[in-house]
Amino acid sequence: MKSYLEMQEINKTYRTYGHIVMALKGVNLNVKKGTVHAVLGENGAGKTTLMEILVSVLKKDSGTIYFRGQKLEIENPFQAFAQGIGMVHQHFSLIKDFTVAENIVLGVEPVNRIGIINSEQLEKKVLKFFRESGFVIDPSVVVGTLSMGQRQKVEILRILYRGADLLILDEPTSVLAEQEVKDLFRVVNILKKQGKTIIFITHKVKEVLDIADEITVLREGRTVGKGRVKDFDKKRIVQMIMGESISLNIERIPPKKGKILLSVQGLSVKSKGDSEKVKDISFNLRKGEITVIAGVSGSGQKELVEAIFGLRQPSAGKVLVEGKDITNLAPRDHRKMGISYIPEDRMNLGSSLNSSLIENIIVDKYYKLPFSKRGWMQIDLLKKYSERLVDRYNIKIADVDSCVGNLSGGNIQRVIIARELNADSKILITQEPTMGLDLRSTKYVYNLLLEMRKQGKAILLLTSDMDEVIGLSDKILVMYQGEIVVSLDNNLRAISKDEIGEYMLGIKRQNYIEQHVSEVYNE
Amino acid sequence: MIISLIDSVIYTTIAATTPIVLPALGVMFTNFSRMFNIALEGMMLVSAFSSVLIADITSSLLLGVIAGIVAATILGLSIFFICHYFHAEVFIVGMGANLVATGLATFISIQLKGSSSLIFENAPKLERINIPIIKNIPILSGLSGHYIIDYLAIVITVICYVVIFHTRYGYHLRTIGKDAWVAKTLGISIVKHRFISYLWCGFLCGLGGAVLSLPVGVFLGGPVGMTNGRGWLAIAVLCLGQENPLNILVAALLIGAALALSDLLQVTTNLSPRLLMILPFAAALIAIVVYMAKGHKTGLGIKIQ
Amino acid sequence: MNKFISSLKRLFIAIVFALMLGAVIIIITSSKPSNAIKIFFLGPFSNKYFFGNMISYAIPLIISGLAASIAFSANMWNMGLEGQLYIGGLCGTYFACQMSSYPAAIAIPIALIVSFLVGGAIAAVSSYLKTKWNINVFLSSLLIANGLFPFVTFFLEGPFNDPKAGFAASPRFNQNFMFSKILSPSELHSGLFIALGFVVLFYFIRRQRVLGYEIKITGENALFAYYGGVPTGRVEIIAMFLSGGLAGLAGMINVFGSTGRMLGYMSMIGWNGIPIAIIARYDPIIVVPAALLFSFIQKGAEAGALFADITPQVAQLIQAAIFYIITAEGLFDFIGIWKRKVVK
Repeated sequence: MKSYLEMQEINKTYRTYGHIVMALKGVNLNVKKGTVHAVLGENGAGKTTLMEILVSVLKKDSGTIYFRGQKLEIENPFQAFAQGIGMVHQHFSLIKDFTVAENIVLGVEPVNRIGIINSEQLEKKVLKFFRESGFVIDPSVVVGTLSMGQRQKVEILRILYRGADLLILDEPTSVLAEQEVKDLFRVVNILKKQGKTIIFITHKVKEVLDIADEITVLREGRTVGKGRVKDFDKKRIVQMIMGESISLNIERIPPKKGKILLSVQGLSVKSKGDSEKVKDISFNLRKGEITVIAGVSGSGQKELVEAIFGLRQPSAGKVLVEGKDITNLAPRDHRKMGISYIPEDRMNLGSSLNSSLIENIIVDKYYKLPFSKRGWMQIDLLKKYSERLVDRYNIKIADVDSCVGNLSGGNIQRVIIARELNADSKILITQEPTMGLDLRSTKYVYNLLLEMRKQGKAILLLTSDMDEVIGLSDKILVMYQGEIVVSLDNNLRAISKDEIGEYMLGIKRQNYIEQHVSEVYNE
Repeated sequence: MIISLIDSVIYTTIAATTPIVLPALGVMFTNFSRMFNIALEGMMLVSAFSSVLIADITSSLLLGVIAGIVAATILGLSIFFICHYFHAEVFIVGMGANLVATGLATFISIQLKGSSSLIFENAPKLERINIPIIKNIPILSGLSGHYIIDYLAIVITVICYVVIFHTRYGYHLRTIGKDAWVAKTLGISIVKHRFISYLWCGFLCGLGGAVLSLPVGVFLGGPVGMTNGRGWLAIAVLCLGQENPLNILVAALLIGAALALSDLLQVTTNLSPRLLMILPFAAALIAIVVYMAKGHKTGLGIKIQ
Repeated sequence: MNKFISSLKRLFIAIVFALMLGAVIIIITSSKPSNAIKIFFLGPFSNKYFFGNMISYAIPLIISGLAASIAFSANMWNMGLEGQLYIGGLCGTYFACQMSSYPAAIAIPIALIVSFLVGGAIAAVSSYLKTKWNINVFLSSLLIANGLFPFVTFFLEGPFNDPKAGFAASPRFNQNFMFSKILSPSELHSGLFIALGFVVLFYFIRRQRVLGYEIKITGENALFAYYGGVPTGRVEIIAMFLSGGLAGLAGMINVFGSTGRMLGYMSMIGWNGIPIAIIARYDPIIVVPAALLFSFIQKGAEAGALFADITPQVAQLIQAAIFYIITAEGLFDFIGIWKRKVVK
């Protein structure tokens, strides 16, 4: 007898810019009715992709899905709802200006005979539904005023309203405060008692142990573990998520305690929704050191780095370069102070796809000698300079006047690297530098970073790749939900992936601030 | 004396508001569907032209109005098709449509009668409607005596309000405007809504153009045609009224009042009529500056800046 | 180079399309189409007079096209060119009138500079409104332009009106100030050199000056430019100022070259600069043939009106239609694919 949900040998590949990314490789998933099933894995492991295939937001390349014993063939999320499958995405699909009631019925609004929707009747209907399902939120409230936890309840209620029997929650706790997490679990248990089945996508091991009955672990697009939660212990789960440690075999000389080049003090950053993405962070970057900020995406690294580089205004705190306060200055001033930045967003921020390679490579130095004299661009010089960089960094491009938009993702990254590493900078900030790069390019980037380190630059590396974290770092700061939860010195002792994983996944946390704030402020 | 002045101002305001609020509502629909139509001037112009021409030929006001609506809709849909199927930039196509409209209308009018200004003496003219009791009440008399399209405009505004806020279509349309991704996830067809929004825009601009030419049986073409910048004022009004038809009506009344004021000053003072023509544009700009300075966003979807 | 060639291809298609459309319209509306077509297409080239006039008409169009190109290159949608042109011309003409007793070598440059500064200042207002309150440049420049038109016309009908003229026009200034004719008996005037001079100037700015790069990169991706260190706010204001300045200059050059006084009607030179710029893909060099195309159509229609039975309004129609078609980028891809299929 087939279980409630069975996904067999699911394959999915993406094609981008000439790259082929195999998101899912023969993934299997087995969910029993009436259970809470957690799908675990790091970012990029394929969890969300798998679930989006289930509800038909994405199409699978191959494999079969059985639901309630029958083959499932649906074309769009609407049909998924008809079958009783509903998904609450990580990015809420709520309209902030609409009320709770309006959001719940969005897409299937009830109309009277002349096609009009009466707000009062709508709210009554929704309220009736709430009572039947056991939850109550005021249906007339505008969603924008609700807390994240309440918004999530609205999302869940919405899919229940559409008749979902199998609920998929994608990283539901990533936006919740601790108290709200408890509340969510309460809701999940109620739903379970009502006979619903819940699939929980998450990377947080602790929560899984609290709420799930069964788990399936994905890593790099493959199923690497499954079974009942009772049969696993924390360490084993973390190991399955992280994988074996592959040492990069990088030769490194431990640095002397170098001068502090960049100091971040008490930095807080608010995001658009007025929630604090970065909460009172302080740390230093030292000469000749690679500091790695490790954390699952969404922990606030992006906002932190943007604030450090002048692309975002912090709500509190300071950024100092060799003592000078650069907190609210523009990127040009940051660059003048010797900071370079390789961003995660290569397409929109790191490069201008419609512009030529030369135009991309010179954007930070076009106004300086020898590239321009008295306002005249030295075109031949710029061209030769670009050609040299193309050569040195092995950028595959027809000629330096071609558009960067025609290049593969990896090559675009090389363009950005070529530019940022040749900016005479003292401090380099780089985010996910090797994401999407092949092995050779990856090793190449690592060598570059180590070379920079040898030359005495201070490097801030943000990455979700564990091998990079361990292989490259002198110091590891782990970020979790906007705070630094631990600082580990990689040169003192060997640090294992699992250990870092525990901090990244929210299991462990040290009182970093007490330990290190004096160092930050007093040197 | 003062009272009759107030009457007259109210009357002129309402009259002036109609050809502004109608296209503003039209562009509101296209804004929601994220395919912002800037060819309001052109659409109203072809409507003004077609409606009075057909009214003259057929001696039927109704056919004239219909012709105006059809003409405006054809122009609007041409923008939709070019943008959708050829992936063109809606602003540039919109500008092209404006130029085509002016060129075509002026060209045809010269072909027909040798001048870009056409007077149709025998065409049936829209008549004023005098509301029995109200026309005698002092201040309220300004509300009587308008053309049917003026009264229709108010009704239409209310209908738009109901449609936008109380129908399934309206919810879906607004969802697209607020977050196209959410709309897609919920299965709302963005293309379909864009098409429908251009139908709305064609209908509304059609009425807006008809009310310019039919009451007087005249068409004025040329570089500054009889639409005289109202299409642009409508966009400014959208900016101020955002997504609520009632707010749009209020903003349009504001601009209409500026137009009425400029008329009033023409009659009562020695100020040059030319200078007074600046008033509505200045009023629109000032209103926008004040509005934006208070921290609002323009909410004009596709705008590049 | 690739961009240059593809822009030329685009221009070529525009020309072909224009000619075809013109022929179609003439066939429909003329009673003797073959004659009319011949006059339309060949008229402007038939002798020095018509040929010179065609080039002459293109002179302010070239400058206006440059004006639009600069602004749009920086992604600043300057819709106020017509207004900037109009008020620039007005102010410049005023100064020219006031300086009638001065030598031309002083009066002309001053008038030109005034027209440039006034036009530039007006455009810069829109830019300032964007920087300060995030007000859309498209909308603000449009509203300002619509307001400027009656404003300037007021002066030309009233305080600054030439009573001897029966229409809205300024008095004539010292006619020695007029640019000399370089191809009599046509109207072609030495303003041509100024226009071409600006073409060369902006070619070099775009290609070789720091400002040219800054404008281009800001227009292509303002976020990237800011991240890379470009002072995008400043660049945008400069681009608008230059754009408005050129527009004002175009108005003044039209006065010095053709009309001898400021006329109170909408010349459409400012508006037409936009499609010219878009057809030329903002490349200063290609602005010249694009402007000539528009001018050719205009003069062809005028010749057709003189010697055949074509209405000159057909010019506007064709110009508008070209623009409308140019915007269908996908159409060109479609044609490209079709060509490839046929060739294979």
